[in-house]
This record gives sequence, structure tokens and C-alpha cells, in this order.
Amino acid sequence: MINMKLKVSNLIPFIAFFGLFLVFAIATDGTVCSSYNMKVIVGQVIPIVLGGLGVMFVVSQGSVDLSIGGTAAVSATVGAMIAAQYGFAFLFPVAVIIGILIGVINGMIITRFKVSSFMTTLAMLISLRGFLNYLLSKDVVFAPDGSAFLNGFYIQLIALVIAIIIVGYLFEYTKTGRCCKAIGENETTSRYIGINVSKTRVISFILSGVMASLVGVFQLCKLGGSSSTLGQFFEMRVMMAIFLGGVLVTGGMSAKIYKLIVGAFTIVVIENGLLISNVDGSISEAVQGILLMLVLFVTLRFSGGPIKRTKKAAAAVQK
Amino acid sequence: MVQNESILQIENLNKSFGPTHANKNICFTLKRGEVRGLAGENGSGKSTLLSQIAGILCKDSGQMQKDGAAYDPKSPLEANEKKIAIVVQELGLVNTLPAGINIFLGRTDQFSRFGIVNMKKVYQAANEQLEKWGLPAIPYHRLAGEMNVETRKMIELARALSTDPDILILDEVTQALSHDNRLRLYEIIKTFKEQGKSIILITHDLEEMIEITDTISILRDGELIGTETSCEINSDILKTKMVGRKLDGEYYRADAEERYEDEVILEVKNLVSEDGLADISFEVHKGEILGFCGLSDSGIHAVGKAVYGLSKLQTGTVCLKQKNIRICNQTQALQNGMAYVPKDRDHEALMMAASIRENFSMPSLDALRGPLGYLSTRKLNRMAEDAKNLFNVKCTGIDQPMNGLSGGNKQKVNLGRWLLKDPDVLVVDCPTRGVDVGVKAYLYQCLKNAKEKGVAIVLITDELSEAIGMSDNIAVMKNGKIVKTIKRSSHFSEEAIIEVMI
Repeated sequence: MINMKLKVSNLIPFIAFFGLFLVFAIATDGTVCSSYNMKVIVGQVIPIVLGGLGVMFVVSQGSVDLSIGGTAAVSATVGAMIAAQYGFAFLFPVAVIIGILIGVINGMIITRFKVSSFMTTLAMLISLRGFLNYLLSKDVVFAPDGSAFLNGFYIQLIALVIAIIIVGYLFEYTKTGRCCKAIGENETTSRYIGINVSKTRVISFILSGVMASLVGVFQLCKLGGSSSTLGQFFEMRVMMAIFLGGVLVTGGMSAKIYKLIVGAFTIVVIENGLLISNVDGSISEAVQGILLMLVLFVTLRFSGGPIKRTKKAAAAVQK
Repeated sequence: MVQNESILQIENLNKSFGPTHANKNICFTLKRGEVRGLAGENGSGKSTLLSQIAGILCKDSGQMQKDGAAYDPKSPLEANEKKIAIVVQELGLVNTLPAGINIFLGRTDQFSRFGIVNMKKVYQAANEQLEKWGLPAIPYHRLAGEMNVETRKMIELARALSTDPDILILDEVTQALSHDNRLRLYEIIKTFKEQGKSIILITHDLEEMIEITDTISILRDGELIGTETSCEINSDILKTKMVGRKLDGEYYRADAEERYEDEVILEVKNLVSEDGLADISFEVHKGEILGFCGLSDSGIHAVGKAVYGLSKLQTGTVCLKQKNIRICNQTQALQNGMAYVPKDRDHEALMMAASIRENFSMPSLDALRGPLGYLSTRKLNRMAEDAKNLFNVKCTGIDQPMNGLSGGNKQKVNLGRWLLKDPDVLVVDCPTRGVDVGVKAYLYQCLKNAKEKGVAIVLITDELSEAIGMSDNIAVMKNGKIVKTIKRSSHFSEEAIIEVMI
């Protein structure tokens, strides 16, 4: 089988991750590898991957969805408010419907008015954050009764595995996923072949919204209620995970689910490792940033990603 | 000025890209006032050689001398200073800048004061250049990216000319030009010659090359095989030398009668669109090749887009008669057995960074789908592998990215992926643009086979000989209208068609 050939370039994100893990394992005398800590790491990876699954469809088209943090917070909060009145059963359906709505609005604005996805979803994020604050100023929102079980580690893990199977299948092995990647490769080409670019784009934002709303519900149950910081910087962590894994910012066929998972683990291990190795809290974030940049550089440098492409583009311009 | 004095000398030039030895010990002398053609198959190293002369690529080893002095340009700008200018094969404009600025790109210092470029002066200077060389007016304040391929080529030509070069290099420029602009280019070449300046050019139209050049150098697999005098050679000898073996003479169709079934497959009625169609109606029958000829702004390319449902139509319908379906958008077109091969292969047709497999499979995804929409990797691989072998695509494997292939092989993928689907209607726009004779003959064979299978083919082309050689009927367009339809049995002649076109 031809595509079974292992390419070194595809392994770089893995190597970066295991390298970091090893460094932290030595620095902390193996505390990082303790079964308790592993559980903590996986627990933090779950929301990133869960949210990232939806965002992958958007990123593979060369677009971005910055609104997912807001989507997660607002959909979960509204879901919890309705569930408080009508019962737990409404929590998920309401949150998902709101996620779908936000996705449709994002997608429609981007395709109809040809606005860049960056601006559209950034504006959406700001307005959703504002809306969240408005909701919270009216009322204190608690996690609905009977939702405590969602807090369990294994139930979340099972949810994640199911999501990876279903959404991953959709992304890697169906026409929808392939069309998203084709649009990322070249939008004109995709249109000329006969792909309905607008429809595909709206679908991708809907998927992104749905996955974000699921993450929102889990996070809300974890916190025991909604707060104005719910889902804050969530979008950045997800984006970071995707690009750390080696997906190109321009999207295209390089987008793969496994890259998201590796990227998510890398981010969490850096955060977690610094915490456990007792790095001074005041500079830990700065170190985090530097490490992230290092990994990103290594990934792109050796996997023939954007750096090489830019060189080629520069050569083309010179011509 | 002495006519026989040499202006450019190249000795033992070598250039490799990884394992590919693109230029092997090239020795080359160009005289003042000489028009030199470079002939060779795709991938024989023509563009590589020219790129090194123009400073786009740096040589691995060897010497270049211009006017007796050592010449080793590090960038195209440096080459410009040494009075060598190139018009490249791919489009080399900055799309987001106005055309006027593009003409003086990298040389805007002369128009600027305190770092601010005086646009008025730039446009004025651009205008002067165009007038000086008798080029058609270009809306030079508009963005280059908004213009069509031909206008952009003219801008590039103006840019090259504005550096006042001693040696002008034209890498497949005429391909993108319509008939009238080609004539203008020939005039420019003549003027150059009279001024004792030299030209090196590549074109895949061998007849054209023989006509406009003084001498022709032939490259094969990176080696310079020889240089011939143009008036002593004909295109058959040239072809044989290029390929290194004798080619079968048959290129186009041999028959002189239109031949197709009565059944109408595609019916187009009263198309009016924003991009230049003014009331177009035609029918294509089963097994018919309908050629479209016209100047580049006559709307022939817009016909292809409109038929495939890509344009916004103001009025008019595109119907598939057999299935009784009206085509309103490209998705419907794809699902109902239509195929479209656009003109701009690299930007409109193929995903250049993606692998051959992805490019082959893209239009056939619906057919490859299993239960639950499952696209199995094995199926995709097998399909791409078969297709690669069927169309004889030269590559390292189906995982190779598209941008590593030569123009002819790219086009094999581009056309092949549609032919695999057995379409009912095939719309091809300039299918042999930038493709060498060997592949060209092959692509024509593909079209002939498709015709035998009963595919209704719409062949849009800039090359009259192609339309004449392949079509059952030719529709000649002018100003967005079909002005005349000519049958094959009435013996097409180039003169007759050009007369109607202009």
C-alpha cells in the first residue's frame, strides 16, 4: 500500500510531543507520568479535541472559526437556563440547536456577503461574549439537576471517543470532508469541478458550532454553573492545537484528525508539565509561549509546511 | 552595429533539481539581431535554461558571457540591469497591485520622491511604453488580478519591454494571445531584429516557431542536440528531432465529413450573461465535436463557464435533452454527467499542492462512495493507480504532488479524470495549451476516442488549426454572439474563419 509508507515529516509532531513529555518526566522525577496526572492531562485534552473536531472542517478550508468560545458559553448557558425550568432532558438539545444556529449565521454571512471568516467569527465572538454577560447579569445559572454524572472522567472520555469515530469518519472518509479539504487546496478549482462551495462552508460552520456547544455543556457541568469566563480563550487553544499538529493555515489535504489530537496533547503537556515542575507562576506563561513557538517552528520546518511554501511563493513573486 | 557579433555566450551550463539533471553541459551562442527558437518536449529543460539566463534560477556550474563580459545574474532585476528581460510561462504579476505598477515593479524608485511613488507618473510612463511598442491600451489603474490571462500577458510583455532589453526572452507567450495580439507581437519581434537586438523564444506551435525565428535550438532530456536554420527545416523534421524518434503523422482527424448521431444531447438557448455572452444558442449532438473560435474577448471562454453552470445568467437555458434536465449550477452539471476542463490549468482546474490521487478522484467521489458515504482509501488508490497507468502519466507515484509534474502530464490528469467518468457532455477550454507535440497528439486521440463513444464535446480553442482539425462544426464568435456556424464538409479554411472573427 502506497500511503502506508511512513514519512518522517508526518512523525515530527509526535516526536516533538514525546520529546517534551520526556523532558518533563525527567524534570519532575516521573510525576508527570503518574496515573493520576495522566488522567488530568487527558481530562484537559478532551475539550480541546472535542471542540477541534468541528473546527477542523473550517480550518481545512483555509478559514478560521474564532467564535467557538462564545458559542460554547452561550449555548451551554441558555441550555442550562431552559433545563432549570423544564428539566435536564432539554440541556443538550437546546445547546446543540443554539450551536447550529450560530453556525448557520456565521456560514451565511461569510458565503452571502463574502466577508472573511476571521472578521465574521471575531465579531460573532465579541457579541456572544456580550450576550453571555447580559444573561449572567439577569440570573445566576447553575448546572441543572441530574447533570453531575457528566462530570465523570469516563463518561467524557466515552463521549470523546464516540465523537472522534463519528466526526472523524465524516472528515476523513466522506465527500463532505474531502470537499472541505479541496476548498482549502483551491477554492476556484473546487467550484469548477462542481462542488457547492457555499453549502459546504455553511455545513462546516454548523459542525463547528455543534461541537462547541457540546464542549460548553461539559465545561458548564464541570464548573457547576455558568460564569463570564466560561469558554474563554477556548478558540485559541483549539486553533493552537490544530496548527501545532502540523495542519497548514491554508488548509487543504494536510488536515488530519490525528494531528489535532497530537497538538492538543502537546499544549496540555506543556501547561501541565510547567505547573508540576514548579516553574514560578509569574513567568510560566511566558515559558509556555516560548515552548509553543519552538514546537511550531520544529513542526513546520521539518514537515515541509508553510515555511517551505513561503519560500516557493517568494521565488514565484521574484519571477 | 555588426550583425554577426555574438551578444550572449553560454558554456557548459549545468543545472540540477535534486536527482533531475535539467540542463547538461549546455553551450549556446546568440548573435545580435538573431531570433532564436528553443524547441523540445515538456520537461526537456527549455524553461530551466531561460530562467538561468534571466536570473530567476542560479546556475550550478558553467559560464555565461554577455557582450564579452562575465554575466552571472542573481535576480531578474539584476538581469534587467544587464539588459536581459523575460516574459515567463506562468503568470508573473502581483495580482493585488494595479497593472501600471506591475509594469515598473522593482523599478518604481525613478517615480518616487521621499519614498512616495507618484502614481500619475507611473501610469504616464506605462502609457508611453504601450504606445512606443504599439500594444493595445490596458486599463493600467485596475488591479492585475481582475484581468484575463491575455491582458496580463500583455502587461508582462510591456514590463519586459520597458527595461529596454538587448535580449528579450519569451517563454510561451503566444499561447495566451489571441490572433490580433499575436500579430502585434510579431511586429515587435521584427522591430527588435531591425534594431540589432536579440530574442529567444519558446512556443509549442512549431509552425509559428519556424516562421518567426531565424534559428532553432533543439533540447532533448536537458541536452542541446543541435541548432538548425529555420528556413531549411520543416515541422516534421523538428518534431522527429525533439522526440528522438519518428512520430506518427496523424495528429488531427483524417475525415472531412461531419459525422454524428441525430440525437441532441445539449441544447443551449438564448444565453445572456454578465461576462460577455449576448444571446448564444446552439445544439450539440451525440458524438459531435462543436468547435468555438473567436478573438479572446469574443466570449468563447464564457461559453464554457455558462454551459457548466458557473456563470450568472441573465436569460437563457442550458438543457440536457436526453435527461430532460435544466442545468442551473455547477453541482447539477457535475451530477448529470457533464465535464468541464477550464483554460487556466494551474489555477482553475487542479489542486497544485495536492497529490495526483486527490486530483484524479475529485470529480468521481459520488461514484466511489460506498454505504454510509464511505470513501475507502484502497478504492481511491486503486482508481488513481489505474487512471495513472491508463493515461500514462509520468510521475514518481500517485502520491506525488501535482506541482511536480510537467505541463503535459498535468493536462493528462486534468482531462483524464473527466474521461474516466464517461461523461455525456465534455466542455474543454484550450485543452492543449502549453503542451508539447507528443502529449498533444495523445490528447487529441483521447478526444477522438471520446467522440467515438458518443460524448458530445464542446471544444473552445485559441488555435484555429486545432478547431479545424478536430471539429464537426465550428461556431465562430464575435462580440458575444455566434456570427457563423461552419460545417466540416464545407472544408474549413483558416482565412474564412479569421475573416468572420475580426
